[in-house]
Amino acid sequence: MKQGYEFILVVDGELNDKDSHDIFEKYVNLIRANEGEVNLAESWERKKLAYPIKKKLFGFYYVCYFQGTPKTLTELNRVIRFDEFVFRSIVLKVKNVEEEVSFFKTIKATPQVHADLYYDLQKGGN
Amino acid sequence: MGKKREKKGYTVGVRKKICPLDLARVPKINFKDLELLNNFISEKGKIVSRRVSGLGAKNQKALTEAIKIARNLSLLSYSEGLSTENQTGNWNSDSR
Repeated sequence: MKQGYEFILVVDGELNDKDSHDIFEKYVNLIRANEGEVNLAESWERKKLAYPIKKKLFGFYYVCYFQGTPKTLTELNRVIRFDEFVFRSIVLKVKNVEEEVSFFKTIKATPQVHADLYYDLQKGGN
Repeated sequence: MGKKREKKGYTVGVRKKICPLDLARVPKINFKDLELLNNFISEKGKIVSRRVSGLGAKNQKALTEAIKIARNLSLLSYSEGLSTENQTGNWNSDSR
């Protein structure tokens, strides 16, 4: 039985699009090579960082959903530590991968949706 | 959270507060949902308390979790309002 995971990667924003995507692809292939089953591997956005990291102001955000075993994670965490272009990375446990994938797609397409629901309520209440 | 007003020893009215996110039918709180999270952050970047946000226990807990993950990924700042310009030159310039 494989566990679902969500993998977020923040890469140096001063690289060009292709180089940064290659870095991400490298880790996606690493997941595939280590008993991982990738559901979705997509770039999110090139964002301005909320605070500077390594004196850089921008970062590429990548999101990957996969199902894997502990072996996948240990290998991923081991390799990712030595990458100087990776600013931040996080792997989170996810209960239902399909649900999360559709959630990410709606957020990526329309970042405002849930905030709008909340705004409408505030307006109606007053 | 129920609010009780007491007058001369007996309860006048009990108003039940309902979590605004449940009312708005927001499915769940996620750290990628930055537009939503921004509503629950003070000017200095602090997480807003339950008394102010009015959220239920479950949602507030999910909120703090989400904000902390987002901060780590540099999606939200740890301390808004602190000047970062002096440290890194012009913050708005895109050197690429």
